[in-house]
Amino acid sequence: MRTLIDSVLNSVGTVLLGKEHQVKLALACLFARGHLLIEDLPGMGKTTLAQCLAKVLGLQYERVQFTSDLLPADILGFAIYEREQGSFRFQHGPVFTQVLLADEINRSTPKTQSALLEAMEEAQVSIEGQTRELPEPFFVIATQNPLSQAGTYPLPESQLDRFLMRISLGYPSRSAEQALFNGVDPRRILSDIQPVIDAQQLQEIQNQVQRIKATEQLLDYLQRLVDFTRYDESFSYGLSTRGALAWLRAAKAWAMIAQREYLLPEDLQTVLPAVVGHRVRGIHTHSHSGAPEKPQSILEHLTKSVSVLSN
Amino acid sequence: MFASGDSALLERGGVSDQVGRNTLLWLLVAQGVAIFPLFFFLPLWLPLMWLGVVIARVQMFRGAWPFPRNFVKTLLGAGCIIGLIISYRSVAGVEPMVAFLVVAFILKLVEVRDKHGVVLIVYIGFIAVAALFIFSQSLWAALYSLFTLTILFGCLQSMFCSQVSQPGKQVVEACILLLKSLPVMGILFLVLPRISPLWAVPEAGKSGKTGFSGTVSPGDISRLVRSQEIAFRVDFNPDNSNQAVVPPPEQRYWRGLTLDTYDGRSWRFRSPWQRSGDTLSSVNLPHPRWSLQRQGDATFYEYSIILEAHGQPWLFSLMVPLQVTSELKMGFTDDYLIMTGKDIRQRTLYRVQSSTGYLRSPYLTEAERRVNQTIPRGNPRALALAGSWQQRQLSAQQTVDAALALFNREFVYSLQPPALGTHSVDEFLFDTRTGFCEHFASSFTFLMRAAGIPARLVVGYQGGTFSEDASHMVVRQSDAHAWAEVWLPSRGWVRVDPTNAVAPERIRRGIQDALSLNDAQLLNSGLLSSAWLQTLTLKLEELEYLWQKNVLSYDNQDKDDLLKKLFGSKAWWLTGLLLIGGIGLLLLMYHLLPLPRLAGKRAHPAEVMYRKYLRGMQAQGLQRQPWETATAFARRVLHESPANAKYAMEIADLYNHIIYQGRSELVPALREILQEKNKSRAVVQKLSR
Repeated sequence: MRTLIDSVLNSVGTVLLGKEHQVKLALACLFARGHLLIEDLPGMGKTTLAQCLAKVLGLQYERVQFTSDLLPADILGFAIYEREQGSFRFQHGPVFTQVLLADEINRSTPKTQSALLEAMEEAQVSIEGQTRELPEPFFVIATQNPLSQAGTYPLPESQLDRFLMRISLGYPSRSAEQALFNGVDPRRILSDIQPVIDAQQLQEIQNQVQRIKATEQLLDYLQRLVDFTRYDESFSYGLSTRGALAWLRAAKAWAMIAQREYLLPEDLQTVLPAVVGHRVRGIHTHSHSGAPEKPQSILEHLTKSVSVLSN
Repeated sequence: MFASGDSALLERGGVSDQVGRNTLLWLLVAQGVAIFPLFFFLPLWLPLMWLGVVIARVQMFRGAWPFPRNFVKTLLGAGCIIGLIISYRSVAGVEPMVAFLVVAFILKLVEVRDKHGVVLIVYIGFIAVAALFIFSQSLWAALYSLFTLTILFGCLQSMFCSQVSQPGKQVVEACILLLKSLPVMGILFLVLPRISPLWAVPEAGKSGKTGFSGTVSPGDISRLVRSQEIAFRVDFNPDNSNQAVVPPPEQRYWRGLTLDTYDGRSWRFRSPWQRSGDTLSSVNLPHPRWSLQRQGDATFYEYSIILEAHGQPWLFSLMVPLQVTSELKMGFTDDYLIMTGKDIRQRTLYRVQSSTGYLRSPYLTEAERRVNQTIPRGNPRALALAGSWQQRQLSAQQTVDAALALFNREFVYSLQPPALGTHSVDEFLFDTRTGFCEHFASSFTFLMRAAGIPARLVVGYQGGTFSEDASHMVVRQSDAHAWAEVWLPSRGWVRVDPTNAVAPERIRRGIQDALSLNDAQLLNSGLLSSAWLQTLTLKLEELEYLWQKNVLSYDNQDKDDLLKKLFGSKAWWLTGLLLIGGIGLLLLMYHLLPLPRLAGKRAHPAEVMYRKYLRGMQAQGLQRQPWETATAFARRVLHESPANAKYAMEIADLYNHIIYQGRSELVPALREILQEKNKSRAVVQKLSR
């Protein structure tokens, strides 16, 4: 298992230079059976990351560019009439895949967004009165452009909750960028990448994540953190139970990647920005532009206010 | 994102000051508990009003009803005040004031919107607890108010608690709070001076329900004896000296009042000032008009009495009271009774010295003689009998003996005597011949007066039983008794108990033995039937007595005695010092000693060791930040203090394994490494020295 995870990380690392942390988070998100929201400017490697993950893990990959005229049927699929057979045939939409990249999800109307988000939650799609199972594993990487929000429909908090993590890739470091300049085109490397594990091994890993041990003391810490978001005055609303569970699951996946079979408080702290950031809102973070602010200060406030040791 | 209205709504919901569900529930319970006992003393419509307000409040919480507007509130308040005025016909006095407090307390519930309001309500609740003591100062009231305090504390807890937790936990927290405050209460109780006008509990509520009134008619006492209520308690050893002088059963006549006016049916008591015109002297010495004459060997009895409230001004004592001391103004009347200027409306403690060896009033004034010889018209047969004695020229003593002999012959002692007509003395003496003590005493006194001997009726209690631990005597209403006093030349007033002639067991062993089976059953109907219940009642009365004696009657004198005993001085500054010093010390103690948290779980041993290690590091200037995990801290130690680096990582690793991997078997390893670390540190310190 250890070698498997290591080789996955290595493979992705060859494509996305200097982004180990984000890659690990994305991977943890996948291992925890969660969906990932990447918030970043265009050209930062969002697509590359999604593609690379799909390839390394040997998963099917689809990409949908969200636009304002995109309709639910464009994602989910639709029934078309076949004249020869005289019957309807279901045309599978791009959602029937294992890794779906939903690019610029905030550009489409809420109707389309919710079609996808429901599919994410239920892992199934209901069209024309028929319920169709999505393939297993099913992993959505959605991207959002935080700038140029004109004509966008930002995801409301309730929808954001469906994403296990929200990360941003950020600019690469100097050295990584230089390596990019000097090296081979990442696209070419990407095309050369071979699957390291198969779907079954991935599922095995996902199952193992569930078995990561969390002791009473650790759960107590998590509980106190969650409670703090709920009752501290600087939060306008706190973490939901689903959010708390997501946090625990993400931390377990992180522990898995760190090759530990038990959780440490560090795991909770490490995944905190990615898991909690989009689920809580500070009382003073009014956003005039409508752009979701990164509540870094409030997350720091959260971390620093709750003691790791129980009192 | 959100429309601005939405987000504002959310924000308000997040950190609102509104009363939460949990707190509201606590508040309702706390208020109910606090005012429940008061309902028994206040107008009947108050509980109904409370119920209505609770319903309204719950509806408001559910959003079904709006919060009341100002004019509705004004209307409610005015309505309640009018209701109080109608109920009491006045607004002055203690009871209307307490009722007013309760009304305000209840109405505040409708108004309360935020936490400040809740705090206010809880504080009024504390006052309500104190108000209960105006009505009752029993042990049960005290225990109940402790319970109320716990609930009120719980209510406060639930509001200030940032986390929603189980009510059970809040109760435990409240109990801890109460336990912590009990020593403070104790210090205040022991040391705080009693400033009487402020400290005295206002009179209210219990007016004398049971006991004698100023008149006695046939049947009064036989009704009274069916009650098992306690009339008073006597301690024959008030100084806790070694020799307690206890009178023998036949001497236990507790005089209450003398009745000298007879109208053919009832004996009436004339208050002393009605008779002599002078007011009671506050001096606790014998009345100036007394004429006592020392006679022969005298036995002196020293005793203190805790008298239950009976709503009358007289107090009980053994014959002849020589001295009485009490916090109340008390004095003697010219017929050797102890009186206060006001009715006894709360338990009263007084101390009496009595002696048997005194003659009372060897000389009688003409007026006294006249009063004590007056008889109403009627009862020709009794008059004839007395006339026959007079004709035989019997001496006074012989007349008394003759009357007693008459009673001794054919009379029956019974709780259920037949009804008597107009000539009640005649009918009793010659027809029914069945009666209770008041019949005997009354007809005997009548006969004596008819025979020209000054005589009067005395009512009080006869007997008394010792408590289980024999520390004090309990006198109950069932010990109520009536007897006579006759004035004999050169002997003064002498007690004659005609009941003794009929049923001597009544005097020697108590009423239970003197009555027939049927009567005894009647008497017992007021008693609890089962034996263990009876012992339980006795035990509870015992407790109540101890409470009375040790807590309620604790006064400045006791306080001074305590100070003297402890410090050999009762200087005023000692009081202050104890008050401030004692409470200060307690607070300091609470601050310094982290008292064991009853509610919390036991810390893991590794946790304890690790904390100790952290304290050690702190002493060296390495303070773990609260958010730092073990590993993060170890890393910082590596960085900042190479001297400690050697073990830091290892300790953090072991700690993580034990606490977060659950490998308790590594605890010894952690202990070992911590010891090793301390040892090496000691070596380093030694070397550096």
